[in-house]
Amino acid sequence: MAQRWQWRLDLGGRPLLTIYDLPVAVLIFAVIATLVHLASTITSPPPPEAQAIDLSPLKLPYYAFRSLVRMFLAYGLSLVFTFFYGSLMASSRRAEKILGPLLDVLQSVPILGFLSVFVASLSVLMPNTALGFELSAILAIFTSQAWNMTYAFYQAVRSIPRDLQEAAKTMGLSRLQRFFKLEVPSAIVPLVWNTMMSFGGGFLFLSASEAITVLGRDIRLEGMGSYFATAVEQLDYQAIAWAIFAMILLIALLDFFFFRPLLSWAQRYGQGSALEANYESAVLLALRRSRLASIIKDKLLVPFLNFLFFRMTKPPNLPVVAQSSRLRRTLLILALLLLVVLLAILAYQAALALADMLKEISLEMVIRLIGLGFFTFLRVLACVVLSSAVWLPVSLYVALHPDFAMKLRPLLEFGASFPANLFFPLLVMAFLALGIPLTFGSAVLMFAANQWYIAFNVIAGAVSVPRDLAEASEAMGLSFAQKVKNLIFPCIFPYWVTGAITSAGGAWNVSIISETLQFGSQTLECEGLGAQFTQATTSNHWPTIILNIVLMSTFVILANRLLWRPLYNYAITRYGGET
Amino acid sequence: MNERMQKKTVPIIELKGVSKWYEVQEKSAKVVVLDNVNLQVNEHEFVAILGPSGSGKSTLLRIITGLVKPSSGEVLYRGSPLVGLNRGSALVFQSFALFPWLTVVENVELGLIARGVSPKEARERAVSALDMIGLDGFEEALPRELSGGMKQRVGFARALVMQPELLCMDEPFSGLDVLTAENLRGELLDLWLERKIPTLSMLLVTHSIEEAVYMADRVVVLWQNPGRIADEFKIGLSHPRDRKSPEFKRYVDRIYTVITRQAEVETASKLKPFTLRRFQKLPHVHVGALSGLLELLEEKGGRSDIYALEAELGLEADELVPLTEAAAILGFAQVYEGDILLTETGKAFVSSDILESKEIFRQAVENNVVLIRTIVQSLKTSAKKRMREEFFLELLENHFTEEEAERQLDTAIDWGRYAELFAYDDESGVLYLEEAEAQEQSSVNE
Repeated sequence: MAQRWQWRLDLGGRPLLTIYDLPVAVLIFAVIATLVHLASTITSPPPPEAQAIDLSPLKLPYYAFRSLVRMFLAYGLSLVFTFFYGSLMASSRRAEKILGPLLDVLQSVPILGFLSVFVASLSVLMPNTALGFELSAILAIFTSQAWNMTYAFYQAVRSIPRDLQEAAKTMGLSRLQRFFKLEVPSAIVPLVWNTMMSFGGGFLFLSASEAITVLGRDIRLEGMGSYFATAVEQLDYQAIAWAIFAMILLIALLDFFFFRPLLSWAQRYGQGSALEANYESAVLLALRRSRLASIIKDKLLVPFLNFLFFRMTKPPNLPVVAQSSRLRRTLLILALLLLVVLLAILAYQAALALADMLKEISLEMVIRLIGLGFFTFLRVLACVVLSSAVWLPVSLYVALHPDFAMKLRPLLEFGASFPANLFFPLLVMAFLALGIPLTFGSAVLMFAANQWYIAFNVIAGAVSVPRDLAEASEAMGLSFAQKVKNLIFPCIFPYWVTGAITSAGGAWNVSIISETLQFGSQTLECEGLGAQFTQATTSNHWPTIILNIVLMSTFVILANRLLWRPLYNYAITRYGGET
Repeated sequence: MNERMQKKTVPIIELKGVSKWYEVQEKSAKVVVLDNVNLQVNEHEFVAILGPSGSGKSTLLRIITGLVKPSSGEVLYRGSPLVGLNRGSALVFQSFALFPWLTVVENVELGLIARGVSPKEARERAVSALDMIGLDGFEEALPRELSGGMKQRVGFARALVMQPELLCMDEPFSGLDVLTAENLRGELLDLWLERKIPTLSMLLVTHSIEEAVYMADRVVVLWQNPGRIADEFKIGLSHPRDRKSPEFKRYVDRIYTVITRQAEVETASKLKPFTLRRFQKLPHVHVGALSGLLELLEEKGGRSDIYALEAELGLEADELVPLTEAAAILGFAQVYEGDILLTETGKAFVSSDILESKEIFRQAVENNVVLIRTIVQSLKTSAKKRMREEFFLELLENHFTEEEAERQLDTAIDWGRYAELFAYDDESGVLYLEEAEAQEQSSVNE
């Protein structure tokens, strides 16, 4: 009665080919074609100039394709980074103390900062080829995708119940086996949700990544981001409209072919919460029923994974084996030494750069920048306030009518994935028409892009109101105001703070595309650190760039430590419930 | 004769002088979880480790399975020092610890695959283990589809499929309802007694005296603060054992005696009512539960065998003993050789109306509980009749760990509030005398 364990599903009649094989075959060909095309690009000639972007809508599918390829490559890189970094960070207290703040710093540096570094280093390594700039773009997209996934993975691994960890250990699973069989599965649901948010983040900064204007260059890589940037520059309203339409279509396709199957597959790994409804995916179903896909899975995928898994296994031990950890220890020491040397080199270079920077800057520069930082900070606060003003009432409604959350979900998912900056030209036109200066307008732009963090979180908070408490409130005949004060607000508050923290963090990043805007031949600007940052990165002046990066980073981290974290701790202690 | 002596085998696991402590940095103090434990498990033995929470029995089990290294002492497996994970033992968890995203059979075969057994063979062995444990047909189910009892069966199958020499179980039946637990216990005993499994010895950690006596050949009693072996009992009864038989009850009584004697040693003697030398370790019980116990005692004529109370109240030993301790501290009852007797004060407490009984409680608390007395004194002498809880916590942390100090204060506050000796504001963490009490206190002083 022993089944062959690779066959998870019972394939009943076992026809030779099913109807599902057709789309699967098409998918496989598409992947192969993409890889071939990519290979050809590598050997391609010098980088494209601004004129290269064709605003005809017929070019959009091709541009979308190029952008998607970059996004997916960056996503793959993000996954690898997440697994390594997140796993390492969760492995010990000491690791957390170093890697945690480091992640904070990484998250606080806006994408343009990274892009400057990438472009600079890659143009040294591979001067004047398209590949260098492509890599820069991919790496830049990576920086707008990776950090929240890393946090999510880290949180998930830290939340693994202790008895599961012990069970894994007593069964003799090695470190790597535990990683694959315990840590990764327990993180799948948060990772899938964060994937959706990462793609949203990637799209938001796509223009910044593909239309490379840092360090005095003006390179337009072929892609939707460049298309949009060029369209805005030339004030081609038709092109802008096409871009918006194409993006909507693209996200719908992405949702159908990528997110939905992922969500459906991830259900097996879920703990089950109110927002995780039953996801059905036609694509996943097709994959599961397609014979072609099964063959690939069983002949290629599963043996490969088994190979990984077996190779990581130590040979079966006798009950007591004095394991020679000396070899492992020496290897570890060597690795650490290497790391120390690398870090020393890095630190030396950084010190040199800092010294250079300090020579060039003056105190009044710094003070001026700090002042600008405060302006941006005010806008960030305004963004949080606006988002709360919109979504808190909604969450109140959801708290009283939990089924409404289901209806909201598609809207939330779409909002999180769709890059709001596509609407910026429209909003700017409205500002100009209404005479609203950008100094206020940019807060609105930030809100448009960032409200979803707060939205998701407060709705989750509303849904978390315990049923029995709600019933007790009804039974006691509490008025609406009383219910809000005693039941709904305490439940939502911690969630709101979480949303505010992530929203604020994102808003700082958005400031670089909301405080300075290209509008036709005009450049609209307002006083703020984001605008200053954008301006600094267009120059080739490294000391200024580094100063900006340092200041922006400091601002974000300070705001985090001084405002948001204490607020969060207060929320947890006061309203944390029965913990 | 000689051959038989030579055949005496090395114990499967032996602990010599094993201690485990944790450094507490802020105090540069040690929290000793286990103190100088000597333990042996031989072949064909079923050993139960019995102890209340905090006695380190889970830590002991983890040292035996190799998850945790002792701070001092030796752990010998078959005579050789144990390094790293104990590959001859398997562990069954109280909370089942199944991987939620793996099917039942995938859960069971996981350990085998990790050891390098081929998928085909691992699958076969897993399926037969599930068959033996009675879960045939549930191979492809996910854990969330199973009841508690079925999940624990999977836990057992997963442990047994690795063919361990020593099967370690950490309160495996505590997470199950009474009937399922009873069922599973019986089946496990069957498998063990009829040698249907290749396991040589069993090690069961439990807090239920009855369970220990019912299943084990030898019961090791651990006590807390620090965790150490209080006593060991060989259970000479043959299976199947009858819980109602006098021999069974005698074993249980003996064990109760040992436990309550340990509990007495911990609490400060009642003969020193007015010394502030040492804070007693207050048992964490609420006044309501205590009243319930005393009322039941009264109904029984003021005296009862503690073990009999277990059944009536539906409590386990580690829930009942704190109640008896509390009653003893307050002078409402006396514990002697496994029996508990209501004192005159206790009788008065039970039979009066609410106001009178509060008065009796208040006097009992003030006379007998050092910590509460200290609190009241401090509040009286303070200018505003208020003190922050940190003050008392720091005082307590000289005698207890940080965590235990908090719990002690919580209990003292619970009792003090009931006695209306003082009040407590949870948000600000302040203890204070209320107006009426303040006046009362000052009028008492005059």
